[in-house]
Amino acid sequence: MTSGPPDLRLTGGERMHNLTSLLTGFWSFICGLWVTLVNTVRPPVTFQYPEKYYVPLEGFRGYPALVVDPETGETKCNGCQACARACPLGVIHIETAQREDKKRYPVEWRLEFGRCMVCNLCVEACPFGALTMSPEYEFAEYRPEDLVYTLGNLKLPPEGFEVRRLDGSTVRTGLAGGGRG
Amino acid sequence: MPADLGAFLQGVFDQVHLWASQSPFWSALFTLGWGIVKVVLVLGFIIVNVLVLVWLERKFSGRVQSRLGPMRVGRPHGWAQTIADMIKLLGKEDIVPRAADKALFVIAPVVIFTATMLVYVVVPMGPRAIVSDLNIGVLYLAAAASFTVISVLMAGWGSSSKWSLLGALRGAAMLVSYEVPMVLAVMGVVLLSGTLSTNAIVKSQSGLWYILVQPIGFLVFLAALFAELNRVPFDLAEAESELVSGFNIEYSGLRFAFFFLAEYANLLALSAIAVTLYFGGWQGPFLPPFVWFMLKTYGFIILVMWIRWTLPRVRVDQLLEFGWKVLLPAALVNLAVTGVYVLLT
Repeated sequence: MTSGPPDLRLTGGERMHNLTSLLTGFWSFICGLWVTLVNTVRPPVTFQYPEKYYVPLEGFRGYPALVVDPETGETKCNGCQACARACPLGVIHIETAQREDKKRYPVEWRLEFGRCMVCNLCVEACPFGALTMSPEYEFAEYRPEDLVYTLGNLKLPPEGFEVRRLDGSTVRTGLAGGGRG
Repeated sequence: MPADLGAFLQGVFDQVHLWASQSPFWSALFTLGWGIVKVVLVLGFIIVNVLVLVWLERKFSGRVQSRLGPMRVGRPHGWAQTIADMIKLLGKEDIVPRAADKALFVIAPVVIFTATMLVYVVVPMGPRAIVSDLNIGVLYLAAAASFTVISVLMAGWGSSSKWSLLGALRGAAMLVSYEVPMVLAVMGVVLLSGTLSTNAIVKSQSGLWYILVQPIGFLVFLAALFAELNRVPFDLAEAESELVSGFNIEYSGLRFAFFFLAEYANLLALSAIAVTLYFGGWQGPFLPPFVWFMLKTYGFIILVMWIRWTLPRVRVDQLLEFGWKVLLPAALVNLAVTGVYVLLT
């Protein structure tokens, strides 16, 4: 047996395969061009942010905020500490006082938002529906101590916020009502 | 440009030429001055177009990816973005690596820009708007267009960096594989028109564009063009994800700006060449020739960008295999068929 150079000639089947793979490759190239063309002519999905404000989807978790009853202008919170106990990080601190009608109300409601991980557990723990996730998202501050939110800036506006649904309709969130309180 | 203004300028030019040819000193000065005017015109043309092209590429890539692209600098649509980028680049610190071969490192950006400028000499932008209508125009083109790889090698070797050297070697391998099918594809056009002069090739396409009779040749030319331009899918010399930035990684500031400028100037030059060879150059009804030339060139550039933002980068072995096993035979078959056709008619 003599071992000559390997036979590198292509068989007929291999030639056919090369030709068809070239043609299918060219076809997939055309398909790719079509995909990019479609994406080029349709409107962009991004927009200029400060000029146009992003309206979050329903269920967006900004920060835990206190719902305000539009009739009384007060929060629905009675300082039961359920949220503070549910918080895995312990960033919620509540001090309460008693009114003349024996009902308790928060005199101080402090959230160290810089450490908050926006897990929603406090909202789920509240038996009175007094907490909700605000759909705001512009939180940047120059000093860390400005990230400690107090009762004054944790209250939501009574009219709530407008958020989007996936089907394109809008709905209001952060309204008083719901819960067992 | 209105015809009477052109005639007026021609008249002024002829008068000055006549006056200057009376003495050898003024004649020499006139030749020098007219050369400088031509250089300034071409340089201005290149720089303005490059600024537009960089902006266009960023805008187009943004739209392909459903983004907006640059919007902030200059309204509307961030038109001043490239100007701001250029000013920023010019203000950057100029660094030469200590281990670099300083002479090569410094010369390389100049060489790549010179090589790009050389191509513009034979680009016909109108019936008379051509720097020099060489009778070996296409041959000159093939030589000048492949000259850029010398600079890529100089930059890669001179930087003394493994990434830039790898990029430069890839660029050289790519040139060897793609220059041959490109020239063979262009030869089909030369056979049909019977001339090597670019302006004569444009004139011979008054009836029928060569893309209609040379579709295979055009596809081969288009594929080779991407390798020549170092663009995706054949941007192996500057593959960002593998070689950081390829041959130009060690460059900064003004020298990097030269590479950047040359890249887009090359895109414009080769698109103009493609329009000249396959799309009838400056020929077209109603509009002035220069407008037709620019319209076709920008249309072709959009096509190149469209392909560039569609395809991923190929592997090195795929690149060489495609060049030698697909493009070269296709170009040869195209040349043979064209030759037989020309012989029979």
